[in-house]
Parts: sequence; structure tokens; C-alpha cells
Amino acid sequence: MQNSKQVIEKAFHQPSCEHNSSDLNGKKSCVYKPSGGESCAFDGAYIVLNPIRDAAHLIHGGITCGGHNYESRGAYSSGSRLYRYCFSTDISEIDIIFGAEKKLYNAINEIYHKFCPPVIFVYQTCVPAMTGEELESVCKKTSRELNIDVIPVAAPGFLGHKNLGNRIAGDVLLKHVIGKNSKKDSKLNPPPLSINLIGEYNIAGDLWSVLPLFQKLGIEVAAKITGDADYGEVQRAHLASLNLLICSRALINVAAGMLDEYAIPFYEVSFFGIGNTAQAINKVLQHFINVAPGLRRQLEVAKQMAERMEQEARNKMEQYRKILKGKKALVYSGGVKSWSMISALHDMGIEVVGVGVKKAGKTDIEKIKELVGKDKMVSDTAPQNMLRIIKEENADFLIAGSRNQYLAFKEKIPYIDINQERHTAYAGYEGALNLAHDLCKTLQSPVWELAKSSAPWDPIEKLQRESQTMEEEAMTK
Amino acid sequence: MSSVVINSTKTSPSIGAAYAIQGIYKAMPFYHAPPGCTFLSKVLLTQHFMEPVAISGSDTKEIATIFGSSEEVIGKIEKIVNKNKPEIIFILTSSVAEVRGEDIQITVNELKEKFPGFPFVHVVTPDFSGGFADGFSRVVLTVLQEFLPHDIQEETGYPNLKFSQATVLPAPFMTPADISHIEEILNSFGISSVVLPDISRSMDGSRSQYGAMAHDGFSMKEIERVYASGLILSFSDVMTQAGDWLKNKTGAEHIALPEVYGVKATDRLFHSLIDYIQLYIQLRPEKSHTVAERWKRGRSRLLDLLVDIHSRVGEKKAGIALDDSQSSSFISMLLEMGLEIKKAVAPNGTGLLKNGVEVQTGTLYDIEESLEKGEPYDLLISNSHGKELSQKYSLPLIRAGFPVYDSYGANLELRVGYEGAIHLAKEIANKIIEKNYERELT
Repeated sequence: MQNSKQVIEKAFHQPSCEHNSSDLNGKKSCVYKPSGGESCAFDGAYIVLNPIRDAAHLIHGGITCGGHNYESRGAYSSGSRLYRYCFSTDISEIDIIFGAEKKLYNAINEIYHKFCPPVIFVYQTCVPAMTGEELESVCKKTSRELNIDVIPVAAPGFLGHKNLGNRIAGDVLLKHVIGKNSKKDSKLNPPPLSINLIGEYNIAGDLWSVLPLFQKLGIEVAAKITGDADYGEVQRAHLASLNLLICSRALINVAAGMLDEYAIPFYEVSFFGIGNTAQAINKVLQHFINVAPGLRRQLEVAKQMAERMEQEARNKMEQYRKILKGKKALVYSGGVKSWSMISALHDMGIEVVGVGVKKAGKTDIEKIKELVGKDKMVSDTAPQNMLRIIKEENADFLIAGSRNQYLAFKEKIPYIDINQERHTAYAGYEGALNLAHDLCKTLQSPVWELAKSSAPWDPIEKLQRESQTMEEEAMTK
Repeated sequence: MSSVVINSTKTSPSIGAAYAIQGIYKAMPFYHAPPGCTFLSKVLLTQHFMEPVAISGSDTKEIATIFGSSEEVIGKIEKIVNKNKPEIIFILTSSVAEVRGEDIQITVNELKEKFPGFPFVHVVTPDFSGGFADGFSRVVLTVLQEFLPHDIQEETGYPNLKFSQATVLPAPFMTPADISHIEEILNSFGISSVVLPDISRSMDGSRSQYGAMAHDGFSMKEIERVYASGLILSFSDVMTQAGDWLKNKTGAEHIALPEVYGVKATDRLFHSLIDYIQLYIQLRPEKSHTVAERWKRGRSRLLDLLVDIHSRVGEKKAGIALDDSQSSSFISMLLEMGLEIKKAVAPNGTGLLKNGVEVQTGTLYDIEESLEKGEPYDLLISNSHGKELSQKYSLPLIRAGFPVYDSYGANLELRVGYEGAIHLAKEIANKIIEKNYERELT
């Protein structure tokens, strides 16, 4: 609790981010601070670490923190499903009065004996943080006794919003996980053409349409941080030679920290849309051409192959372009997703009539401005204003997170979910085609006409109402 | 006693309270809590209802947490009153507010001074005191207590009870379809109803335009009617207390139905209604009433169905992981069908025998451990979190309770009354035989 100020300051201080300010108490800071309607630091930390699939994630706190996060994110796994288990200490009034450290100690032991995971992440939440529990010492003690990693994640919700929690989780990865298992690592030879994907959580299986692309080009994806990842691969991430930062706002500190500590350079990329995907792949290949001249021939062949893959995707997109060309969309999502989504939509010939920027950081806003112009940026993302824009601009779609789904559906507006609750992968070439397909599917669905159609009794009821008012008028006269 | 709770179906009292508030016209729940509590509850309620939901919050951050945040809270609530124009605001205090020992009543009083006549209601909902059903029932009891008319005397009760009107206190797990059905049954006896809270009009999909707060439902304008009813119907044991409290104040007849699914539970409802009507007819001899053909036919259809399916579902083994109050309804229905309850767990299990079955404090993981040991199960009844188990052990799943976010129509599911029991019996039997066909094929 005493060091929560330091935690915040550390997370705010990020020299490689252009929002950084030396004035830690000032308003400007690297961490994005929303004006409201966002989740808390605990949730932000949980989002980042939870996809580590063979880990046990123990939430030390009340049931709101555990129960409401239970299976709440659509991060898919091709291996262990332990990450989906909801471990909670579900602290009671007695625990609050007498302290819950012993309970936490026992909980960690029980998890170890039942599941034997390589690591247990222990999330501190508001109430234990307020009562001043020594999370770190319990973790150290159990880690020593059980000979597994027990890692404290001190991001109680009241510290701040989701993005702060993302950064705290990033710091946890740097401090406790990445490159911290020196005994085993020394035996491994790092492959020359290997990359990490940072900030990709395998929502709806996004990763699975990105990984095959790199595989075909002979690039090894060493660690996914953290979608569909095993703990061991995240520990070995420092052996890769290049980092791709996918959601920059969440985990820039991980990329920057790995540059500092292990001299691994990074690029910010996006895999939404054909253009962005092609650009990302090209950056990787060009980077390796520059740093590994010995592999130049192999990489030049890969480059040609990448061009063919891109062309193939563009050819397949043509069928959807025919339907979608000239259609109008309003987009509202997180910062990175907003600008990458805009270019994905441009690939399909869709016009973007507005972009919600409430959740966007400074760089994101610059990029959005470049793509659509300043006047298309919407800072008032209240439902009423979004509706107004949709109506005034005659938009065909709303493309947003699930909290706006029922705004669209209630108003009978075609809608696509691009956040964590969707069920279709939208990343990579295959994902771009999926997105186009889904847009066509909703646009052409017979449901919109039905939903707006009149009921069999509407005409007669209208007549009845009219005659009633006429009668009333006659009466008053 | 285990120190770690694994895969519990428990959700918080605050979300139970917020759920109930969605059934009150233009009501706004205000979470006095850090931002995650508000946000995660909004997400979960939206996923469950598949409708816009109303939620606001104080977004308590560190400074406010330590030094008191009354001013901040008042400022935020003021903004909501002016901008969203709710008819009532419920202030829900989270663990953080309760552990701080903050006196929220001072804040509420200040708000009342600022907005004379505007109803602000404080409901205590920290995580460490109960779960979903407790939050839900606490909203109801608090509303009943706060708005008690002054002319109700301890001795005489409500001066002019309306015998042809019932106050319905639905169970936290009753769907919009369930509530509408109960109203239809009452109406068929010539009894009108006022339902507190009433999600059947606000969260049934009838909202035709966007708006976060309930567009319909129980209105605070009807609050006087709640006390005027000659009959109180409370469903599930968590609502008994509120029903009893109201009965003691107004002198109305209270029919408490701890179980709501199946033949016996519905028979008990009809028995009680018939008894009540008899009494009412004595008071008003000009009114007479017979039981509607529809219910008679419904009961015989249900019994016929139960006979038809009995050999296929008899002795099948069910696991139940739900809130204690809902478990007992399922237990009663499943036993009628001849199923065996292999294990019934609830986050708040009382260990009491319900129809001879003990509901233990436990979670889905207890059922998983039992499955791991090779114990046979044919059916699982739980909220959406049961899906993982259902997939892993290829176990038919009946979704119930809160949250249900991975299948459609949970809100439209009718399970009460004879007609509801028909739906439920069909669903259970068909899931079990479907599984058998699969086994035959492999």
C-alpha cells in the first residue's frame, strides 16, 4: 500500500513513449487515463496475464473481482485450459478483521497440490491492499517452499484504470518472467530469425491466422505475449531477435524494457486488414535483411512469397469489395484497433464517416487524423451522439466493442463486434476476409427489414386511434 | 475448509442488486466503488440480458479511497440526476466503501437536501456479505422499508386493503417469461398484480429504442399500490423475509413459495390461490371464481408428459451448481421426474436437507472432482460457467441462474407453472436422450 505511488509513477514513466512527461505529478503522462466507463487496474493486469494458459491465476479478494472475470475474455488456447479456472480467496468479513495472509498462503499451497502449475500469479485486489497485507512476502515464501514461481501482481483496482493495470502486468513480466529462468535458458540456442508478438491475446483465435504466415516465410515466432502462450515460452522471450508490438498502449513498457535489457529492437505493427498485415510482414523481412546479410537470399525469396500471399488475399477480397464499396461505417474501439480498423475498412472500399477517439492515445489520434482527417474524429462517444452521427451520415454499420452492440441492435443498425467478445478471428489475411464476410453477412441479412416491418394490427390500430382523436375533437368542440 | 474457491458460480450482491434495479422504471444503480466493479458488472449484465443496461459509478480512485470521497460522489450523482433524469437512484456500497467504514448515510442525506423529494436509496452490498440473491432481495426489502406510507399503523395495517390485487415479489432467478406467466395465472383468478421488481416489462427485449435505463417495469409511481394489495406472493426462500415484513406492516395474506418449479410447487401455488379466493369470496360474495380451463389442461398435459418420459429419465444422475434458493426448485422438479441428485452445490449452501437432498457449500470444481473420480453424471444444471465441464465430460447442460451469456433466449425461458414445467421437463428429457443417441452412434 505504501508503495502504490511508486507503482503508479513507474508505470507512468516510459521514456520510449511520446506521451511521457518528466513531471510525474503533472497531468501529462504516458499512461492513458480515460474520463470514465473503463475497467480498473486489476482488470487491466488480469487481461494481460490471464492468457498464459498453463498458469494458475489466483485472485486474492472478493467475488466481484474473481467471479465477474471468470471466463470473461475470449482468449483461445490450443493447449492447457488451466487459465480458464477461476481461483479466488473469496475473502470474508472475518478475513478482513483478522487478515487473510494465512488464507492466501493455504490457497497457494492447495492450488499447487491440486494442479501443480509451473507458476501461480497472485492478483492483489482493493480490500487486501487496503488492509495492508504483505502480498510479496507470502509469494516469496511459498515460491521457495514449493519450488515454483509464485508471482505477486499488485494492481488493486483503486490505483487507476485498465491501462495502468496493463502496464503493471508488463512490469511484472519484465521483473519476474522474461529471461528470469537463467538455468534452463543457457542450454538453448536462439534461432536466428525469431520474433515475439507482444500484446496479442489470441482473441477468437486471431493468432492462428497470423502464425501460419510467419511459418510459411521461415520466421519463427518464439513467444506470444501472452495469447495462447505457455509460461516457459514467455520466460524465454528474451532469446528472440525482434519484437513486434501489437497493442502499443497496453504493453509498450515490455517492448521498451526488452530493448534496454536485452537489446531487442521492436516495431509497432497491426494485423488488422490486408495492408497492415502486409506492412508488418514486410517490416520483419526488411529488418532481417538489414541485420542478417548472410540470410539475404533466403529472405529475398520469402519477400517474394509474402507479396504473393498479399496478392492472393487482395484477389479474394474482390468479391466482398463489390458488395461493400461505398458503404459507410462508424468505428469506435480502443486506439490501436481504431486506426488499424480504418485501414482494414479502406481495403474493402468502405468509407469511414466517424471514429470514436475517447479511448485513443496521442499517437493513435495522429494516425487516425492522417487516415480520415480531423473532422471525422468523434470525442463525444455517448450513445446519443453516436446515434446522431449514424443517422446524419447515413452510416450502414457500427463497428465497435460489445458494450455498443445493443445501442446498434435496439436502433436496428447492422453492427460488428471487434473487441474481446467476438467469435471470429479478424487478424491476418484470413481474418481480414472473415471481417469482410461478416460485414456482408450482416448487411445482407433479412432481419433488418423484418425488424422494421409493421405488425398486422398496426394499420387498424392506427385507424382506431385516428377515429378516437376525431371523436375527442368533436366532443371538445 | 478450503482456502481457495475454484470455479464458483457465485456472483456479487452488488450485481444482484443492479440486476433487480433493471426492473424498476428509470432507475439508476450507482456503484460507490472502484471503476472495475462498475465496469465488470455492466459487461456481465449486458451479456446476460442482451439488452442495454443502466449502471453508473463513483470510480473511486486512490486519493478518494484514502481521504474520503463524499464530495466526489455527490458531484457525480448530481450530474446523473441532471443529465440522465432518472426517477430513482440506488447507491450501492462496495467492499471498499464498507471496509473504509464510510458513513454513506451522510452523503445520502446531503443529496436529499440538494434534491428535495428525489428518492435516493442506499443498499449495502459488499462482496463479503452474501451473493447475487442477497443483493437482489436487499433491494426489494429496502424499497419496501424506505417508502412505507405514514398512514400504516402497527395495529391496524393498511387501512383499505385491495383483495383483488396481489404484490408479487419474484425470485431472483425468475425470467421475464416466468413473471408474465405468474401474472397471467393471477389475472385468471381475477387478481391484478404489481410486481417488484418487474424485469418482465423492461428486460424482455421489448425496448424498441436505445436507452440505458428501464423503459418500463415497476414504477416508483406505483409504490403505494405495493402496500395496498390484499395478497403478497413471494417466490423462493430469499424473498420470504421481504414478504413477511410487508405482511406484518399491511396485514395482507402472504403466500410464500420456497420452490417454484414442477408439479408440487405449482400445485401449492394453485392451492394457495384457491384458498385465498375462497376467503375473498366470503368477503365479497358477489364475486365467484373457477379455475381457468388453460391451467387444468396444462396440468394434465404436464402429467402425461412426465409419464411418457419417466423411463428414459428415471434414475439419471444430476449435478446442480446454482444459488441455494434456485437449487431447491430444481431439486423438487428433478425428484418428481425420478432423477437422482448426485451432488448439489451452492456458493451459499446451507447444508440443510431440501426434499432429502443436502445442498453443500461448493463449486463446479467439486462436481469436476467427483467426475474425475469416475462418478457417473447424466446432467448438469448450472449457469454458463458449467459449459467448460459440460464440454470436457460431454455432459448435457441445462443453463439457469446468472449469468447465462453463451446461449440465446435465457430471458425468454418459461419454467414456472404447469406450462413452464412442461418446457423444463422436455428440455431435460431431450438433452438426456440426445446424449444416448450419440452414445449409440459411437
